[in-house]
Amino acid sequence: MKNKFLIGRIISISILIFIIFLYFILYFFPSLKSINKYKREIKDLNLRITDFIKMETKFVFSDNREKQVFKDLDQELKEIIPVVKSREDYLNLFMEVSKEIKNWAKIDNVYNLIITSSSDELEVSASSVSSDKKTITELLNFTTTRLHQIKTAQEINNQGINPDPTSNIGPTTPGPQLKFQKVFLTFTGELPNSVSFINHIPWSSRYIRPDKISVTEGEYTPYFLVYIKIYYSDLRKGNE
Amino acid sequence: MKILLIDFSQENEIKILKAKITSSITIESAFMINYKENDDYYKDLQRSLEERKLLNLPVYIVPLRKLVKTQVFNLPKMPVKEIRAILPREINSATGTSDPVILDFIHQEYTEEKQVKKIEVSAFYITRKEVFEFLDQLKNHGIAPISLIPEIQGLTALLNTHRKDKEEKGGTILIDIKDNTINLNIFKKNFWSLSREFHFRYEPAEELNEDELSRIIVEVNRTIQFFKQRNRNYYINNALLFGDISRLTDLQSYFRENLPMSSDIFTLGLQQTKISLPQSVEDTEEFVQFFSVALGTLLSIQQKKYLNLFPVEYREKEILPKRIIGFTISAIIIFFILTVGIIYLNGIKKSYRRELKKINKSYFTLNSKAAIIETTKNDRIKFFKNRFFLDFPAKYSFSIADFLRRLSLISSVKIHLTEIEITPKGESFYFLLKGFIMGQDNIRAQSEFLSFFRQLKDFDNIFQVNSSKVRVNSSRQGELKEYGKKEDSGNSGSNSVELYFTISGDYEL
Repeated sequence: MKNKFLIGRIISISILIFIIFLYFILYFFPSLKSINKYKREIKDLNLRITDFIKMETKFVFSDNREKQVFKDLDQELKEIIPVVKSREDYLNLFMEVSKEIKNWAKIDNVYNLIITSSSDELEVSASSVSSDKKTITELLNFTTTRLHQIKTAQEINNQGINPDPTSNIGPTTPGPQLKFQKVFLTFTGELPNSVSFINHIPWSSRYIRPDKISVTEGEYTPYFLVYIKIYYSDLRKGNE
Repeated sequence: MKILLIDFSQENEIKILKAKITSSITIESAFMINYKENDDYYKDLQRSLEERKLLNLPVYIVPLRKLVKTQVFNLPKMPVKEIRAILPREINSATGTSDPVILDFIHQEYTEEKQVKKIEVSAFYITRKEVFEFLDQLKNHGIAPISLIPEIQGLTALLNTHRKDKEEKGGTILIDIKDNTINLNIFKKNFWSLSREFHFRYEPAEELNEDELSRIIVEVNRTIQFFKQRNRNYYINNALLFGDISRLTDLQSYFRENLPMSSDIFTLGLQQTKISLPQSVEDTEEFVQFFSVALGTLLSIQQKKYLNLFPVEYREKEILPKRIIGFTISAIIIFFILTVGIIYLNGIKKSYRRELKKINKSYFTLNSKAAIIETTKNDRIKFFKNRFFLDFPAKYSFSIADFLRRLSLISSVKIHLTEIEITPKGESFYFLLKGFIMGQDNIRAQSEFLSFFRQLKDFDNIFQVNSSKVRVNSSRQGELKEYGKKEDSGNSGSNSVELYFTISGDYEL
């Protein structure tokens, strides 16, 4: 009889514990979970609202002056990047830039200057601004060696081994297809003159972008190699 | 401990003792209720107890002699627990009924008979129906007993007090003489074995006649013979008389003459048993004879060793309503707590939901402006990107020129830069310097290099510079050249150490 009552007691306590267990499993813990979820959502929304408020204070809307500045810059970009519609335009662009560079080389008293392009479209062209034949021969040798090295390096780059870190830098304005012509300037001269010359390259008359520059010890004066890119909008047929 | 003992054992008499039981027994009050067969004696009892304020005491009951049945079993050797388990079945098979019984038992030591170990068990039982009816009657009259102790228990205790210091061998016949009833109980040593009751003609204030005395002797002898048939080789050597004091002396002398055993009148050593009687008791002997069973039962209670026929299930049944109430209350409390928990958590959830709804509303209002903000942001990013694109060539060339000029300023005569390589890198450019230092010894060449390196490092725009591949070669013959200086004849041919180095770093535009 005692056992019977003991079993009854155990069963009733077990039922009670089971009810409490069910309460915790089916109600209490899910409730805590949903409360925490609400808390997180509220926190997240508050943060978003704060972000919006910050943005609102930083961004002034319907600012016509700002829009004008944007437009001016777009215009500046359009003006500085010449439009190439034919091969003639393309050659003229290169000739004009070369002419300007040569002028500055003379002004800055650079001993020798060779302007080269490794492009298939633009054949290698050398131009000297000095009559010192010994120096120009050495400079030509230097240029040939370096161009070979650069070509090899480019081939490696094209395989994606060492991508050009500045290749993604460019105007974001949609429009004519933006292209550039790679040109190498090799020259020799006294350091101050050479440095002045680098500064005088007409960077802003057209969009000419300097790339790699190397200075190598020469017999009397150092040899400079400046790698530049002349940008243009290519509107020739088959390029649009 | 104060208790109330109600002795129902004798028909038509209820004896009540209020006693304090410690190491001794103090009878605080004693009284008796006489009743006739059709009287509502329970009511009288209730009234008497209420008047004396005795109902709050723990109640021990000696049930009516007729109510308690006895049965003796000779069982094979087995554990006590097993005896208890089989006894109900044994009783039912012995009585030929299937009524459930409430029982308790005593057992002798094991005896070996024909190489078989046996145990004699004396079972005392009341049918479940009878005991429940009895207890219900008591309950209806406000009496809630905690124990039902059979009369035999009291008699055994009395016998134990009497047999001390006497020969223990042989049995004893207890002859209880009350009114017109004689109750015989035969004990093997202290172990109850047989009971029998018979009536005799009794007229108050008259002496028993010869015929009646002869009949009593015949009945006693018959009982003894019956006992002897069941217990061969066992003899009874003592008859103990108690009960109606007025008859005892006469009967004792008669028994002495006619029974083949010693006949004594029971006397209770009050000092020996540490029982003290109420001061109002004038005739101690009469009191002891009259309340003998009750006194014996008190002795058993004091020793905490007694037969108990109180059914556990009755107590459980009694407690059940209280238990149900307790369980219901606790269940209500628990459900209340859980409900409060649900309401509380729901409240929290509701408040969060409300807050979330409110915030969502303001968020959506703000979100409508998001597209305009995003466009403006993109326009500005585009502007800064384009601006950087446009300004980059001039910035870059100026920085290179500046870097080369400063480099020429920190290069001493001993430092020969063989190659400088500059590569644009976002808003900075990467430079690589290769060269060597001519020195008289390794230490001087090293210190020259360190001085150059330190100065280079101090350039404002340089934010990361490393030197590597520093190695020292033995001196080489020939002239050395340096940028910006045509010739330094002072060092040519005299240096003994060449320290080749490579320095790389980043220069901010």
